[in-house]
Order: sequence, then C-alpha cells, then structure tokens
Amino acid sequence: MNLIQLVVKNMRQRALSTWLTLLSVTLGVGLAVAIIVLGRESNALFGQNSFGFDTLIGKKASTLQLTINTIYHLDQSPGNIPFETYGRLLKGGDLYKFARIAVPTVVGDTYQGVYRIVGTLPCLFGYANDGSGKLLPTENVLEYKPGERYEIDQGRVFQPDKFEAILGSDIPKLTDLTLGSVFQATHGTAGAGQPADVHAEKWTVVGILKPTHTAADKVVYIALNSFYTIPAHGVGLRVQHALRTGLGLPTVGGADATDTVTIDPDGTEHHANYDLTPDKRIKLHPDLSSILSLSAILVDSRGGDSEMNIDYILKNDGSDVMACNPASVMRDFFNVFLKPSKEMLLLMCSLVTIVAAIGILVSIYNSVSARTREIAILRALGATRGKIIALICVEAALIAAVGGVLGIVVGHLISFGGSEFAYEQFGQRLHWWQPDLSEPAYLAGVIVLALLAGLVPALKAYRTPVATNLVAA
Amino acid sequence: MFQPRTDSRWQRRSWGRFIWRVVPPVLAASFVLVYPIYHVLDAAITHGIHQDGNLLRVDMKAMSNFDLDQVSGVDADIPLPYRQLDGKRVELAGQMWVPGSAAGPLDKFDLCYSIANCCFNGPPRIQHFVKATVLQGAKVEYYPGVVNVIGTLHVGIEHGAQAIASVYRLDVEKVEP
Repeated sequence: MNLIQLVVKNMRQRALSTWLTLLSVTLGVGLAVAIIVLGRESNALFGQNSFGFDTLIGKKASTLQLTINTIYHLDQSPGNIPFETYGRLLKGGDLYKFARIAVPTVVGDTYQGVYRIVGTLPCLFGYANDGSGKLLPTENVLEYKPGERYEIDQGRVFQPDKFEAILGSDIPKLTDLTLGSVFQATHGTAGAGQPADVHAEKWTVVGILKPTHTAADKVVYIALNSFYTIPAHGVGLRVQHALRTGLGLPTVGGADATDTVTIDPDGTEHHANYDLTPDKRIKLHPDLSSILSLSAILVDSRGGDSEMNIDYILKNDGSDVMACNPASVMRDFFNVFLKPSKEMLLLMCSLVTIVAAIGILVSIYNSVSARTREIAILRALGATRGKIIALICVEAALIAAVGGVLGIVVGHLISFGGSEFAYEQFGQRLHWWQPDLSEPAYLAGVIVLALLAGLVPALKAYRTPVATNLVAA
Repeated sequence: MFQPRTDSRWQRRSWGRFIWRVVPPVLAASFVLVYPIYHVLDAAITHGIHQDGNLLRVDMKAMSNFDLDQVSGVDADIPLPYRQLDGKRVELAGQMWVPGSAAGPLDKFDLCYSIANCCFNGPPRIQHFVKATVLQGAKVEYYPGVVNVIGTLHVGIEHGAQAIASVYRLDVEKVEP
C-alpha cells in the first residue's frame, strides 16, 4: 500500500472530521477568491476601465455625484446648469478651442419609475442634430469607451423635435417596450407606497441601441426638446430662472401644473410650453427656449491641456458650473473607498483561512492521538519516522489542496451571484469566470500553511514510542 | 553672602558656553537663508538638469517654467537647455495624470510636477505636461503621489487643431513610486 492510499484510508476512517475540515478550507478559500475577483471586477465595472471622453460639465457640486449620475445613471443629479454653457463649447464660444465634441444631457424622469430617461441630441448616436438623419464623420462622434460609439441596432435615430425615443439594448428584455411602442414618462422615482407621477406626454420608440455592456443599456433616450415640453418641467425652468435673476419664488403655479391645450383649425396644438405642428414637430415657446437648462454635458477635449483648461476656466469664472475628469474622479473613489475596504475583507478572509488551517491541525492532531497504536504497528512493520511524518503532512496538504480547488470553484460561483446583482443594479455583468493571477499563489499559500499546520501532529506521531504503544495495546 | 565670580577663567568659560549655545540657531538660520539661494543658483547654473550615471535627472518644474504662446508657440521659445534634452535618457519626478482611465494598467499618461500647483493656482500650460507613452507592449501601474519616471525624452512643439498639443513627450521605460 503506497503513501497516498494510506492517507486516503485514514481520511475515510474519520470521514466526518475530514469533510468538516475540508468544508472550512473550501469556505475560507472561496470567500477570499470571491473578494479577489469581485474587487478586480468592481474597478472595471465602475471605471469601465476607460472612457472615450475626458470631461463632464455640470452643476458645481460633488464631482463623484456628477460622474455617477451622468455615466452610471445612479443617484440624483447635482442640479441644473444654464443651456448657454453648451453654447460656450460650440463654434464661436469661448471654450470651443478646448472642446472637440460636446453632447448635452438632461435627466429627471424614468420609465415605470425604474429605467432612467435621458434627454439628449441625435449627435450622441452619430447623427446630425438638424434632423436630416445624416451620419456624422466618426471622428466627430462621442466614444463612450475608447473606440466604441453608441450604434443603432434596430430602427432609426429620433427626430430632435419629435416625441420619439431610442431604447438601450436591455430595455426591450426588461420591459414591454419595443419598436413602435408608445410610453409615458414618470417623474423621478416614486417612493414606496407613493403613486407614480406619470406625465401626460407620449413618446414613440423608433430605435434600439446595440449592447454597450454599460449602464447605458438600461436607459431610454428621448429628444432633448421633448423633455422640456412637460408642463412641470416648464414650471421648474421658470422658477429656477426667477430665482437666478433675483425675482424670488413665484406666488402662483407649481410642480403639479397641468397642460392647457388649444387646437387651431389647421391642426396646430398650442400647449403650455410648446406648439405641436400638424406634422407633430415640437416648437418650444420662446420664453421657455431662452431659459432652458441641462443636467450635464459630455465633452471630449482637444487633448494637450484642454481638459485642464476647461476645468480651470469654469472653476474660476464665477459661474455655478464646473468640469471634472470622470476617470480621475473614479480612480480617487477606488483609492479612497473601495481599496481599503477590499484590503480589510482580504485580511478577514486570510484570517478565515488561518482558522481553517488550525482546524486541520486540530483534526489531524486528534486523529494522531487516537491512532498511536496504528502508528506503532506501522513503525514495527518497517515504516521509518520520515515516512510517518510524510503520511501526516501529505494528509494535511491533500485536505488543503482539495479544499483549495473547491474553494476556487465556490469563489467564482459567489462572483457569479455578484455579477447577477451588479447586472440588476448597474446594468453590467462581471467577468466572474475569469481566473485571477493571484489565485494559484493563494492556493499554494494555503497548501504551505496546511503543511506547516500538519507538522505539529506529524512531530507527535514522529515521537510515538513503538514498544510502549504495542505493549499498551 | 553670595558673590558673583569675576575671575577671568570663569568669564572665559561662560563665553565659551555662550558660543556653543548660539551655534545651532545660527546654523539653522544660515540653512534657511542659504538653502533657497543655493536652489536659485543651482537652477540658474544647471537649469535643473543633473547628470546621474548614464541618465539626466531633470527638475520638471524648472523645465516647464517658461513663457510659451499656447497657440502659436515655436520650438525656439523652448529654452535651449531643454531643447538639448531631445533624445536624451532622463529621469523625471512628478505626478501621473490619466484623463482617460480609471482603473487597470496604463499604456500612456501625462506627467506633471504638481497637479495642484500647475493647474489650480494658475492656468494650466501645455509645457507643464509631459505626454508619456509606455514602450510598445508594456504597461505600468498608476501610483498616486510623486513618481520617478525613466525614459527617452522628445522635445519640440506639436500642434493640435486649435492649440499646441504637446511640448515634451517621453518614451517610458520604468515608473517607480
């Protein structure tokens, strides 16, 4: 009978103890591997690893809130900025020499209180903003990741002045919306038990985007102008304008403003904020057009130090607007918040693994205590002291190796759960199956630790006096 | 009654003690005065460029401290000592600025002597940034704070669509925190 067979027989003899020790090693390694994989992937998830644009412009507030709200479609918008800021980035504006591409966005509504609605221009999807449907040269289209642009998979881009919408690739799977569907927007996100505040305006779905594997897959995009048609939004814009210009809070009107509609004989509809032509084109009222605001502007600078200059100018020109670099914001977020907590969790998992190794020690030590006669017989049959030490150490290493391999599998399965959770929350799955380079090193460390733990009972077995134990038997 | 000692031996000893007592503050004051002068002189004489074995250690603040028209500047506007660094193997100490990547290893980054000093106190200038590209196929880790970067420096104005795109470019061999 060779060494391995002897070890396996020993393990079988005390199967319950062996299984429990194996389980503790498996769980310890599994937790550590899950933390390694989820830690690696959480960086990629939030950071998208890289961005295709380098500047975000928004209300002077927390740069993290602006980044998370605009790119990851989480949290609330920090506030609105004047529409003129967008004009400063276009030809003739003072920031034009620093900005290559600029795309305005506005947020505040959702579909069914869950899926964010973003108002924007056709240029985000690579089409001219004039409604001609012409494709822009690729170098003039914003990239959400380097080399990757939003592309329409089915249908077409929305008209900039119509109640039309484009869906992120996951929306048709998650909701009843598809090409041709008509839907209404819900104001914000209704709290638990609160009735949803559904706007009266209706949008028609005219396009579906290709998957981007980012949070954008769970977003409904509508034409920017159509966002301002909602009566409550018009009230909000007028109140904000009154406050900005020192007129104070208006005494009449409120967020629950209702629309008033009159229809001309030619079919033109006159609404509170806009007119709708017979061919269903939106014409915002001039008093509203002059006070529009935005939630954020995505900007790709002209390189060099342009991004820094936009940041510097907006920070110091006395306006209520700021710029930030989303990559550096997220990098700081990882370093300040995620990295220490990840290290703390890894430390705890290492402690769990050490406890599991102590479990191996105790289990084998007890088994050696109970098997002194067997060890004495083995010695009497010719087994050397070295072979006895090897027998015990191999048993410890085998438990650690099997437990470690199972732990790696368990760790990736836990990561799969994390991946599904991330998909639910952020619209992005993780590469949960991809092994990390540190996993083999961790497994080797666990085996070495187990070998060291096995040395204690092995030395006890080594010192077992043969004659005494045979006589005692 | 206590009488103060007036013998010359005592006076000599107390004078000696006095001398030793003032030495440390005098040295400290001298250091405070002399060190900045040394730095100014050193910068004026060496332009912040020091030979260290087979590479040149260059002070990033010194090399970016000159006036340059951000739109129509030309090579001649770059001070001669820094123009002469073109093609030389250098070591630079500065902060990494990565506008396009939030996580993972990097194949390119900007290097600046101090992000806070260059770009928050005064307007950012293109000569403050060294456009660093890691040698083909390799990647480097991001480190917060000051890093030492070794590589081959290329000096010369590169124009972009609206303004100068770069003054200094570096082929990076190594980045160390």
